[in-house]
Amino acid sequence: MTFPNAFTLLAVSATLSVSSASATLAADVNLYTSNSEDAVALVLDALNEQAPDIRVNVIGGGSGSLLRRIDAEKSAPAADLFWSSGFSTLAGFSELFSGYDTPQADNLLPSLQALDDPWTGTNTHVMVLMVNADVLDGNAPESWQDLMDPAWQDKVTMADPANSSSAYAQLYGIYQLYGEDGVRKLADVVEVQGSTSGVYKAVAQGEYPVGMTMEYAAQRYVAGGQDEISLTYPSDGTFLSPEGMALVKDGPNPEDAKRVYDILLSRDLQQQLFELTFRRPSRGDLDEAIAASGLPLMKDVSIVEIDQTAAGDERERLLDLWAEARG
Amino acid sequence: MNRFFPWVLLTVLALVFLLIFVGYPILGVLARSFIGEGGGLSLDGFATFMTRGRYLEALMNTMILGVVVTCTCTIVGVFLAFVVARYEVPFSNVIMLLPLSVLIIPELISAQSWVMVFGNNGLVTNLFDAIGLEFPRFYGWFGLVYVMTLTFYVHIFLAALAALRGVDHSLEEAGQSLGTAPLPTYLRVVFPTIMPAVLSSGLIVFTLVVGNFAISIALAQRVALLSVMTYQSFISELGGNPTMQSTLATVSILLVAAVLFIQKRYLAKRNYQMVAGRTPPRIRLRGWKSIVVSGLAGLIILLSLLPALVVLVGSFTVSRGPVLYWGQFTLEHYQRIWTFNMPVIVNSLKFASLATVLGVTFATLVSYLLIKKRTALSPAVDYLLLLPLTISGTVLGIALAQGFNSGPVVLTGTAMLMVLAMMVRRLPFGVRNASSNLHNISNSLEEASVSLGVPPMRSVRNVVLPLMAPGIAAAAILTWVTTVAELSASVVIYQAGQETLPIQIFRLISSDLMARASAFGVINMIIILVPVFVGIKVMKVRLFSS
Repeated sequence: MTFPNAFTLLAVSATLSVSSASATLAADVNLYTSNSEDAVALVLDALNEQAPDIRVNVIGGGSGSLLRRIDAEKSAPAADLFWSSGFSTLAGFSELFSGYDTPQADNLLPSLQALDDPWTGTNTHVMVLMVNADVLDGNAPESWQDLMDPAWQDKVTMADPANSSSAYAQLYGIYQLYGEDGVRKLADVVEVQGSTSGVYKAVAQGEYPVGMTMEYAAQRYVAGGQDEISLTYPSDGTFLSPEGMALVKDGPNPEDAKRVYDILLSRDLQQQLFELTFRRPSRGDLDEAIAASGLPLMKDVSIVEIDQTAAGDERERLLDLWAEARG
Repeated sequence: MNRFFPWVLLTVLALVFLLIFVGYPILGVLARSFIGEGGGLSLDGFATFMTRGRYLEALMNTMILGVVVTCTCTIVGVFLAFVVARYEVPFSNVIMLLPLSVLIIPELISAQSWVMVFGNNGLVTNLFDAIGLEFPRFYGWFGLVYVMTLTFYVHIFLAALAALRGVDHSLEEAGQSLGTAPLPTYLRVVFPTIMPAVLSSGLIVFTLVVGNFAISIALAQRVALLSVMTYQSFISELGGNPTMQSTLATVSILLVAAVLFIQKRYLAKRNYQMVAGRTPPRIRLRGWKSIVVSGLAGLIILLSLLPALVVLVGSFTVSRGPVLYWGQFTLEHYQRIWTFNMPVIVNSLKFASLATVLGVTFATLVSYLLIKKRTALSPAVDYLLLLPLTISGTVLGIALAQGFNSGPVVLTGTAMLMVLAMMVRRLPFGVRNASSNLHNISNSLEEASVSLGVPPMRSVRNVVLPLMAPGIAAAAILTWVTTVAELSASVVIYQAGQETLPIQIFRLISSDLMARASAFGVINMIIILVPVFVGIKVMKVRLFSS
């Protein structure tokens, strides 16, 4: 009979894979990270060089699912360090973290030091307009206000602020600049994608000439050589959405985790991470690397200060207003 | 009397399992859609659905898409089945591989590879551009209908082919000898007899379209669809609203249930029994007819297999970030998988093999109980087994995640829930395959064994199981194939560290890293293909006998 053989095979492969999967838990520092695996590989290389005694066990995933997992594990934490998510997202989970006064804090941009919070800024997103010249008729928009012109109807896209934290940051910034009226005008013009990534993909594929997205996401296409893509920093001021990392409260190995924390904020590693991912570093001493990448320096970009706490508090009201304006 | 003893107990166990892992979570979803934010009974979810946002529009779009794709699939599937059944075409051997193409190419990959061909930056689009023609916009209705048709027509093709081969040729001859021309004979005699088979498979296509997640999310940028909204309500970065998730899930369950009901009513009135007729001879076509017919059939086949080719080439193509450089080749994407992503492959193998072993064991047991040892409880088992068919993977995932995140059995976040979701989703198909030749096994064989003094359990093992083996093997292979490619249920319940190949592909495609996604896609296809190949070639399993 041939069929029992197939069954044995299946059973054998099942047992084999179970045993090999359980062998990954013996590491010293457990790093939960939402960063891409090539970024993680850079970090592991740097750690291997600077702290060869630390073994790092990496669990990767979306930041939401990692944070929920840390929450689920809080009675017996398995994670030591979480890297990284937006400040506003971290705020929702702040009881899961314990603060650490890193000696690197002095080298960071003031807005990213987060001295009062249990996390530290690692990088910041900058909201931009991503423009695809191939499908653009006429001039590109220069500012958020330009986009409120009905002429842009069907040509501009953003992510759904109810699903995407970066889209909410954009919406809140526009609300701060132009009030309810601005939000309503934007709602009439813009087309909404279900997710953050839907925006830059749609613009890169030429489905829309203009998308409201994050600097790093758009810059990946420019650096990749897709010539028709360019970035516009709105002249009426753009918004930052800082991201941070944090020690997990009662993690199994806090001392080594702090060493990893400091290395993650070190100049060399931040520079390498920036050159790989185009996410603006939280350190203030990397202007050379930023200029070399072709991105403008922070001091040359017009920025509107956003109070992250107020943005969080107003979320429900603003989303209601948005839903109502969208009809 | 121990004649019934083990069987009743086993039926009860099967029923309890189905109640806990199918009945309870699905009922939970239905119930939660009537619970408001405050916790009391409320219709807020449905009020929101009817009045706000694009929910109603999404429901309409979903129904229109379901009907349109079912129609296009019927046209393509019946045409191809007719050609294969009635004419000698040059590549009829290749045609029999078609059903496999749909099984081995995950939907997500096929959608994305069509974007690479027809999207705004696609190969064909750029070609049209170069000669000054404008290619129609692929995102939206055109792309959705096109890709879904090419993905789902195979279901109708298989059913129509089986039915056409069963049509007694003498009926046709009778029609024609009574003076009816060939075409009206087909329309009045042949098509009505294959209608029930086409309609049942059409219903499957409809449910697949309505529940489809992978193709919809890739192509429905300007078209609101229920399945995408259901997923997004659950996966929102900022924590979803359980009432709205359940409401959306309930609406899609009701939609499929309604269509199922209509179809049952229709089929009940029409029942054709073929008296084992003779199959009509295949005609050899000549001249322009031959060119047109085999050309069309060949085109359908080529288009069905093209995504696999695009993915294969893409996986070896140089990329810088999201930008692909066609014509420049590299092994980098595979090297990266080797260095970083072996756990993903291990997860896929682990979950799928566990789901297959558990699912096939359960399916074998249940189909034996349902066909050979019916008890008063059997109808309940029958109905519970139908339930997973009426819900999409996304809804099943939501039902399981919500159903087991608190209470006596907490499974949310565990690998076990991933395995359960994959297993439950394919259970109806597994049972159907495992029972396919059980009807033909005479009870007298087993009774003879029992009457000769062999205990009932051993009689089953020594007499019935070996005879069921081909059906079980087919069930195992098909369960394996579909669980390895499973995305829509697992993507809503997986947690960090539990990524499978399709989830990884989905995440890479979301970040627009197509070349790397393609490399995972090729590995996924290989993992799917190997058991199928071994099954067909080595073990001579007939996969598509039903």
